[in-house]
Amino acid sequence: MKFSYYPGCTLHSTAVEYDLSARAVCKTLGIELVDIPGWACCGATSAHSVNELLAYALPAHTITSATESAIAAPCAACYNRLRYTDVNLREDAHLRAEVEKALGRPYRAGVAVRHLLDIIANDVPADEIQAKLAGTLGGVKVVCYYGCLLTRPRDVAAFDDMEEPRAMDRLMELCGAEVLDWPRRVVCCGAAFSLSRTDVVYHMTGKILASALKAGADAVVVACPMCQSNLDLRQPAILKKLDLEGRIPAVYFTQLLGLCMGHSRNELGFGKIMVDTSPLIQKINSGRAETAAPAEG
Amino acid sequence: MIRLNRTPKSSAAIARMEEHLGHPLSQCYQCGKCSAGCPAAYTMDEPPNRVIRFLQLGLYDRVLEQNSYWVCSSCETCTARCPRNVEVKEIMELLRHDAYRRGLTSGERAVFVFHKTFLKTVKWFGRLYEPGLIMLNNLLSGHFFKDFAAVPGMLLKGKLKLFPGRGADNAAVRRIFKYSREEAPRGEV
Repeated sequence: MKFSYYPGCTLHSTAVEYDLSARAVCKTLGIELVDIPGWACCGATSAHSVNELLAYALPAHTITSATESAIAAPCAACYNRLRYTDVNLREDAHLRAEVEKALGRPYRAGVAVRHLLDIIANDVPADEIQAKLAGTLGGVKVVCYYGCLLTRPRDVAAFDDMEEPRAMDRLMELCGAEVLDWPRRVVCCGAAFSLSRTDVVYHMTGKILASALKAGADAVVVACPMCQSNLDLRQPAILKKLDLEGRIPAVYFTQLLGLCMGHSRNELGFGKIMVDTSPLIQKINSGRAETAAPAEG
Repeated sequence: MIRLNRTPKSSAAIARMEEHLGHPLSQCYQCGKCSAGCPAAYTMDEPPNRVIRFLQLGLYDRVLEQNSYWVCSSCETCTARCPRNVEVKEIMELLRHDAYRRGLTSGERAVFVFHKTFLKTVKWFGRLYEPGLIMLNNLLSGHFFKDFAAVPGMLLKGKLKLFPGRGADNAAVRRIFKYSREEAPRGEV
C-alpha cells in the first residue's frame, strides 16, 4: 500500500510523537508514506469559520499536490477539511471553478482522502496486524476517544458510525487492551478555542477527562492532535479546577500499536507526552508478565 | 417581547442563507435536539434551535448580535442528529462568515482575533507556526502572557519549534489568500 502522507502542521510541532509513531507503525505494516511536495496548512477551523473560498482552496492545494492516488491524513481536523473540500468540489462545479482560479491550476479530483485510523483498521486485515504484534498491552484499561471531526458529518467522514464508532476499539482489543465503554467517545473537546476561549476547553475537555477517570481507564486513546493537546497539555490545570485526583495520559493509537509491534518508547515519542506515561508502561509490562506466566505453564 | 421587524435587508440575507443551505429554514420544527447535544450551548446567548427560530422570524440582525455562532465549535453534533436534516452547523458557519466580513465580534473578540491571527501566520509561513500564533494572538487580544507557563515544558519536549518550518509552497498559499480576499473584500484575512 502506498499513500501520499499529509501530516498537517501539528505533527511537525505539538504532535511530533504522532508523526513518529505513525511512520513507525506504517513501516512495520508495509504502508509506504510519500511526502506531499509543498503541502500547506489546511486552514483548520479559522479558515472555514471566516472565508469559504479560503477553506476550500487551501486543502485543494494540498490534494492537488499529492503524487499518489490516495492521501493518508493522521490529523482528524485536516482529514475533515480535506474530505469536505473533495466532496464539495466534486459536487459543485461553480465552487470548483472558483477554487481553481485561486489555485491557478486545475483541481485534482479523484484522490481518495483517508484517515490513518481508517486505513489501518479497515484496509489492513486483522490477522496481518496480529502477525506483526510482538507483545500485548497486557490488559490495560483504555477508553477510545474519537472526538468530532473523525466521524462527522456522515456524508463527509464516512468510515465509521457517527455516534458509536468502533475502529479504534477493535484495534486496541487486538492489541490486548481492555477497552472500556464510556459515554464521551464522540463529544467535542473544544479544540480551536484552546487559545481564545480557554474556559470553553476547560469545560468541554474537563467532562471528557472526568468521564475517562470515572470509567477507570489507564489511558485515553486518541487519533487527533487537537484532542490530544487539550487532554494532555491542559490536563493538570483542568483536573485541579475540577478538584479531581489522578492523571490519565492521552496517547495516540499509533503509539500503543507501535509499542506492541516492538518499537521502543523513544521511537514512538512517549517522552513527549506531558502527562507521565510511566505508570501506564509499568501496567502494560506487569500485565504482559502476568498473562505470559499461565500461558507458559 | 420580541418585536418582529422584517426589513428588506434581513429578508434578503435570510433568502441568501436558505439558497446556500439548499433548504428553507422552516424545515426546522424546533424539536431542540441540536441544542440538547450542543457542547457549547451553555455559553451561547441563544442555543442553536433558538438561533434558527430567530431566523425563521426574520430577525437576522438580532442573531448577528448574539455570540452563539462565534462560540460554536463546529463539532457537527447538531447536524448529525437533526431529524429534519437541517444544516445547523452550516447556519452557524454562514453567520460567522457574514459577521467576520462586517467586523462584528458580538462579545467574542478573543475568538475573532484568534481566527484572524491564525490565518495571518498561515499566510506568512504557509503552515501554522505556533510560537508566532501564540505571541501575535496575545499581543492583539491584550492577554500578553497567556499560556506562557506552558512554553518552557513544550520546548523541552521538542513540541514547539523556535522557527517556522519550511517546505510549504508559499507562492501558492499567497495566491490563494490574495484571491480569497478579493472575493470577500471586507473579509480581511
